[in-house]
Order: sequence, then C-alpha cells, then structure tokens
Amino acid sequence: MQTIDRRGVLGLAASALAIGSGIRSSSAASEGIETIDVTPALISAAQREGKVVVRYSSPVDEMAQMSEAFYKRFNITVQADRKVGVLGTQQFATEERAGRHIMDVNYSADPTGIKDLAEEGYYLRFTLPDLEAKLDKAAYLPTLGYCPKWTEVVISYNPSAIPHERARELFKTWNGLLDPALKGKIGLNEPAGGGVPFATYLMFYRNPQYGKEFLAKLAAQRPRLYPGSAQAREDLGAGAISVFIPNWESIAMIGVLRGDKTAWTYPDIAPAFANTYFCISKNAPNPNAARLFAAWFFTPEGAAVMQLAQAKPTLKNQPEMRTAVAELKKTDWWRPYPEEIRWIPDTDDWIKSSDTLIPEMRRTLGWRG
Amino acid sequence: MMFTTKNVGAIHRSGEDHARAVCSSSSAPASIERRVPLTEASAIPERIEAIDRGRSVAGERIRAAVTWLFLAVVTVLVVTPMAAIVFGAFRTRSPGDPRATFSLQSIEAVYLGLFNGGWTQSATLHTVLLAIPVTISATALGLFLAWAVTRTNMPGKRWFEFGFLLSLLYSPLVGVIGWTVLADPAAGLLNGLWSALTGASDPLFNIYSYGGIAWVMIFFFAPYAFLLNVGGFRSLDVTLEEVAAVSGANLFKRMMLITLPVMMAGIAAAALFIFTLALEQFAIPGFLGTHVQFDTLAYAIFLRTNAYPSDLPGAAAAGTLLLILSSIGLFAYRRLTRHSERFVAVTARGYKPGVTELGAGRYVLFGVCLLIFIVGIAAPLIAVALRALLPVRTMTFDPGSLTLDNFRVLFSAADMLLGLRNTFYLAFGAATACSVIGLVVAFQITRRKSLAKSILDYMIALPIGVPGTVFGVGMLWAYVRTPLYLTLGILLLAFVIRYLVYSVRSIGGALMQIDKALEESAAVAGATPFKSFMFVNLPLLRPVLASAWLLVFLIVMREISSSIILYGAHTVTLPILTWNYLNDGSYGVASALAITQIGIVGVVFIVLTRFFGADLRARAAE
Repeated sequence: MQTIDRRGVLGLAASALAIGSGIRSSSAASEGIETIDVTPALISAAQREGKVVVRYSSPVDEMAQMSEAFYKRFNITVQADRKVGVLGTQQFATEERAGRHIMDVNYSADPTGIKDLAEEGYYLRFTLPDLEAKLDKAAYLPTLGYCPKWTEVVISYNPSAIPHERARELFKTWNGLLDPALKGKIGLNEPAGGGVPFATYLMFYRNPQYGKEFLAKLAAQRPRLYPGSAQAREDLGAGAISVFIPNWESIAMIGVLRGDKTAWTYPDIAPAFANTYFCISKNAPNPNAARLFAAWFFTPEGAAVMQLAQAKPTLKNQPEMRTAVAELKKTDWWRPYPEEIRWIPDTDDWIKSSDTLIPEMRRTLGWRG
Repeated sequence: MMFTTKNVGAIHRSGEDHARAVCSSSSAPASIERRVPLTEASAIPERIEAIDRGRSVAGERIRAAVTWLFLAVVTVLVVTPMAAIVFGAFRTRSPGDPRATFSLQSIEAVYLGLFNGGWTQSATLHTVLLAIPVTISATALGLFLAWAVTRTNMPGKRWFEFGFLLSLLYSPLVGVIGWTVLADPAAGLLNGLWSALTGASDPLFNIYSYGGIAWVMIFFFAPYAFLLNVGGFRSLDVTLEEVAAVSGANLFKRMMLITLPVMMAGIAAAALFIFTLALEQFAIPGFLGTHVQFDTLAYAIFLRTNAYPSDLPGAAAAGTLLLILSSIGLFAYRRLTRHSERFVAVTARGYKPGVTELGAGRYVLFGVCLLIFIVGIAAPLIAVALRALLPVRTMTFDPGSLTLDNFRVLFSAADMLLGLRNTFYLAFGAATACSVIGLVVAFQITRRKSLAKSILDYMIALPIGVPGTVFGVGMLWAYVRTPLYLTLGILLLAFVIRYLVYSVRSIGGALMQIDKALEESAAVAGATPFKSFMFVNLPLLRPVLASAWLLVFLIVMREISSSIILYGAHTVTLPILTWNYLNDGSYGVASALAITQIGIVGVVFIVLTRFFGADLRARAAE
C-alpha cells in the first residue's frame, strides 16, 4: 500500500508541476478540456520525467519505430507494453479502479472501451491546437482520443490465383466476391476479430447497395473464417485462399516489403477510419511525457515517423514518404488509394451497435448461439 | 500360514485383523509380495506398536499443524483468484466498476444457454466432443509409447525418449503453423505431394476439420501421458509380469490384468491432466476451428476476454462451467485412485525392474514407434523449421529461397533477451517451487488420509479447471492492489498455484506405487518419520521428482493464456513474444523463435540428464 500512496503523491506532484510548467492552457481549459501543443516548456518538463509508459495494440514494429524516434528526438524512454484487442483497456480500467496509476498513454483500438472509461473519468479530456486544420473529423474521438494514422480497407488477392487485370475488374465492387468461381476461396476475418472487420461488415449493413443480406451472401460462398487477419494474410500469400477481406493497405504494404506475393485493389466504397487512438490517462505518472508523446505524432516530424512504419498519417498535407509506396510505384498493378471511395464509420453508431451486431454477424456467418 | 510384509501395519492392530488382512492381500491385484514365515514375522507387530507408542503425541500434532498450515496457505492462494472469478461472474460489469451491480444475467446466459441455444450450447458440445476422444486417444498413445521405451527391448529407446517429448518444447500455436504448412487442404505440402503423385484434385488431409483438430491435439497431448507414465513403467517390478507369464498369461493378458491396473494411478493422473488441458485449450481449436465455425468453450471465453465486445463477467461465468466439467474429470480420477494400496509396485522385498523380450517383434515395434514419431512429431516440427527458413509461406518447396533472415530479425529484437531471461526465471522458479511443495503435499495426501487432506487435494486442482485467460483475469482482479502486480512475482505465483496440481499428481501417483511397508521397515529400524522420508521415500522418488520438475518447467516455458493477461513491459516472456509475432503476421519469426526455444530447452534437458542425474526413465528402485 505504501507503493500506491507514494505513486499517488508523486502523480499529484507531477501533475501540479505540469500545470505550472509545461502544459499550455487555452479557452478550452475552462471547459475542462486541455489543449496540448508541443512547446519547449512541455518538452523540458517531459524530459525531466524521462519516461513515458505506453500501452498499445498496434504492430510491434510500428511501436518500436515510434519509440526509437521519440527517444532519439527527446531523450525520453518509451516503456511500451503491448496488449492486443481489448486487453489494454481492461487492464487500465482494473488498475485505475484499484488506485494504481501505471500507464501514461493508451494507444488503443477500442473506441467502445475508451468512451466507457472516459465516463468513469480515467482519461484526460484534451484537444490539439488548430485541430480542424490538422485532422479530418474521422481521425479522432473529440476531446478523448486522436489517431495518427489511417486504416484504409482494401480487397487483397493472390495474383497467382487472380491475375491483376481480372482482380481489378472483378472487384470494382464488393459484389465481385460473389463470383461462383471464388466459392471456397475467400478468406474473411471474423467480426469479433477487431475494428477492421467490424467496420467493414458495418459498412455493408449501413449502405443500401449491399445491406446486411450481403454478409449472408458472402457466407453462402463458404469462406474460410479467420480469428485474426495475420493468419489470413499468411494463407493468402501461400495460395490457400485466393482473396481476403478485409485487409488494410498499410499492413499489406509491409507484407509486400517482406516479400509477400499478394496484391490489392479498391472497390467502389471501403471503410477508411482512424483505428487506433492516443488517449492520455488522467492520472498519468508521467503527465508531461504523456502529453508530449500524444501530441508529437501530430506534428510533421512525428507524422514522418509514422510513415517510416508504412502508416499513412492523418495529419493533413503531408508529403508521401513511405518506402513501400516508392516500391509499389515501380509495379504495373498498384495505384494510389482513391480518396472518393472512403466510407467513414460513425463512431457513435459503432459504439452503440457493436454489442448486438457482432453476435448477429457471427450468426450470419455460420456460428451458432 | 504365510502373510506378507505389506500387511504388517494392519496385522499388528488385532488378531482378527490379521486374518482379514491376509485374505485381502490375495484380492489386491498385482500385489505380489515377499512371503515371510509367520513365526519370524510375529514379533514385528509388537515392535511397530512399541515404536508407534514411542512416537510422541507432539509429533502427531506437528504433522496435523503442518497439514492445516498447508491447507490454509493453499486455500488463501487458490481461493483469492477463484473467488474473484466467481464474484465477477455475478456482476453486470467487471469487479471494481462503480456501475457494476449484482446480477444473474451472465450465469443465466451461460447455464440456461446450454439448453436454449445460447452462446455456450454448441461451444460446450464441441468442447466435450473434442475433449473426451482426445483424452482417451492421447492417453492411450502416450501410454503405449511409454511402455515401448521402458518395458521392451526395442532398439533406439533412448532417442525415442527424447523424441517423443519434442512437441512439449514449443507453443501449440507454433504447432498449428506446422500442421497448416503440411495439411492445409488448399496449400498444404502433403496435399500438394498427394496431388502431384496421384493427380487427385481433392486433398488427402484437411486440418480444418473436427478430425484435423483432434489429430493435432492428440499428438500435442500424448507426450504428457508419456511423461507421466514413463517413470511408473520403469518402476514396475517385472516379477509381477513374470509370475503372470509363468501362469500362462500372454502379453495382452499381462498388460490388461497386471500392468495397466498397477499403473492406474499414473494413467488416471495423465488422463485427468489431458482432459483439463483439452478443455481449456483455445489456441488449436481457435486457429483451426474458426475456419469451419467450430468453436469451443475455451475459445469462446478467450474471445470474451480479448476480442470485441469484451465481456469479462460472461467469461468468468463460463469459466465456472468449465470448472464443473473439469471437476467431473477430477471426480473420476479420485474414484479410480481411491484405493491407493492397489497401485503398490515397489515393495519392501527385492525388486527387479526389467524389460519384456519381444524377439523379432522388437523391430516391428521400432517401426511402429518410428512411424508415430515421424507422422505426429517430426513432420510438423520440420514444417515449423522450414517456415522459419522461408521469408514467406509458399505451396511448393524451393531450396533457393531458404534464408536465415527470420533468425536475424529475432535476435535483433530488443525484447528477445529479456523474454529469454524472464522465461527461464519463471520456468526454473515455478518448477522448483511446484516440486518442493508438491512433494510435501503429495506425501500428506497419499500417506495420511483425512478430511482436511481431501479438501487440500480438491483445492489444488481447482485452478486448472478454469481456462488460463479467466484465471489470469482472476489474478489481475485479486492482485492489482499488491506490489506483486506487473512483476515476475505475480506470474510465478500464478504458475505455482495453477500447476502445483501436476507435480502433486505425478509425485502422488509414484508414492502410491511405493509400499508403506518400506517406511514401516525403516520405523522398525528406529528411523524417525523425517529420516524415513529422507532416506527411503526421497531416493525412490528422485527420478519422479525430476520428471515432475521437468513437466512444470516445460509447461511454463510455453505458457501463454494466463501470462497474456498478467505480463507487463518488463515481464515479457518467450511465449508472449511468439504470440506478438503471430499477431503481427510474422509467422517466420515466430517459427524461428520456436526452433530457438526447442534448442535451448533441449540443451537444458541434456544438461539435466547428463550432469545432474535427472532421469525421466525413472529407475526408481534400482
């Protein structure tokens, strides 16, 4: 218990110090919403803390590059603790409810959990300066979480099974997946497998040209169902399946750099959304370092780091710097992501519907109970 | 009239008991003891009685106090996370959430769902349909292999002893990679070969099926039955079988009437062990069964703790259902082993371990074992090694594409050394703690029966009855306020609580095979109970202790389900790294890690056997 008390006292002291030194307040602050900007004062306050504890569910390589770049730039160690899926949120909730303040930043792909814990008051309410100029509205949960990268859903295929021209023609719309020739050759990520599959199936539900029946039609194609997308991408590369949905472009690009024999194309409409948000713990033990970490990736410098990990930054007007794109430009099949196909899910709809729709989607795909 | 040394303890109590004991000894199967003339033995009961009287009342009290102390400590350790799980099952939200209220909704959804088409119905049915045949088949296979390497003169036994344990050295998730590479119906190498040889368009194997899942699980669990029985087989006195052979019993009859009944304690322990593992296994049915909507209870629970939408109360409630299922297994085990004296194989008289001469049949047996090894163990392992050497998985094998890049990535990873160090600390720590505590507990439970000891016996089996993820959540809820949280200490504690039952069962099984008369003989010679334990039981149990130690060591080396909830940035382990690589799609690096892990554990195994005398063949009484 002494440890907890000491941490609590240190946390309060650090918060007081932060307020006094680094954190810039604005008119939003009067509403309890803090505006966080990367200022010299914040940087020096964060450097005095020397460390930031980040819990994350994104790929390990991506976080490794982010951590390394952050350390090189600010000389602040990133203690990265990976918890996939909803585990990070659950663990943070359990800690906070028990009065243990351990995590500074949650880089979380669980919007439902984020909103839920915000109601309990465990997340800092904050915003970024010039927010509308910097980010698309779809890239953040207002005052709560800000996503530094886009997740753009694509249809991935194995060119040995479906030649590029045929794939481009076939998958102009999602209806191409209903081609009888693809029966038994489609891989689907199961609805409970993460934000990307749920967003994609939600898109079918919410768009009349497809409707919820489309999922049933896909089920009639006897797809292979995958608990996670990684296994599906492995199978796609090996030729065990001919096409996989939903994949997303940045992760597909990493595969190509690694030597995967896969390609992808863009249908008429596809989810493009912010999948992973930076949220700051209200009781962060390293409050300045937490603020700096969460805000820096929305500067041009931080956005460039995201591109090192082949992620497409949400920060507007950034030059294309991804090495995978440079490689892909040399191919005859790849073309840049067509912005007009973006379907941005309504986060409120997402949060309200996931509890009921995910079991329903699973039943549609053949699970019982 | 003759009587046996085995019965001296009973005989001394009264003259009437004497006759009854003699009669009962003849009905005890496989208890063939040294016959002693009555006149020579008649003095023994008086001496034992005198020694018994001589044992101070204080000594008895100390033993009782130790038992109750153990019971209290184990109860606190076990009950804390288990109570958190049960408490969580009756909440609308996670414990600690201020919006949570008491409710039966999760319990109703789980238990009524079994009958009204709820989420637990098909999952529970699938779980049972998988666990029972897998338990029977894996136990039988492991038993057969243990018999082959210990009780026959088959050539190459030493190699097989190590070979049959290979699949214990890496994660089931990696095993799934191996089997997928081999037997994917559309892209498996074996199916490709079959198609090339026969021109057939239909695959020969389909790993994504009920049969495929069961197949992988059988070969994954059979080594446990092998490990848990190889010591018992080695300790078995060949005289028992020789007497039966002299009486005209053939090999099959000897197996059925002598060997298996005497081995029942070890067999039951192995079956119980495999049954509980099969119930809580989420990785194999999860990865292979999802393709065909074959979900099991453990996988459904895993989804509730890891995927969207999170439902921890539901997971906790379903954990209680699995606990009930595994309790049925525990009950069956207790029924099978309730008469521990029936399993006595190491008696006070001269002891003769040995092998059955099979003549030319030994080469046939060798061929069968080699086939099992190749098909069940070597093939997926080679596939994993192949995947580790390939940048991407392909349908065909191209030697030109082999590379060590995955190993380079692995060894340049910042967490690799940390994970290696943590895993070894935890595996050594948990194995040692479980062996030491398990020895004391097993001795208490096996040798001196009482209500408290029966409770203790049930208590230590509880944590293995719930899936590891649920147990991890229970530990998280229970220990988040303590300084142990996010340290190696909480992982170590979780492993000791969860796996103590395995060392108790394996050591207890061996103890049942050691005749109490040995201790009584020591007492006659003036030894205190402690001395008797140290100089009679402990030397006999040394190989079994090594076996129990290795068993827990191997389990912890690849434990993922509880760790995934409890680990932190500084307490990452090799199985967690494997999990992360798999989640990121780095199957090649995960395979490289598995191969590395096999290499490292293999070295530990060799060091233990060569330099520290650990001997899984358990020449107990030699």
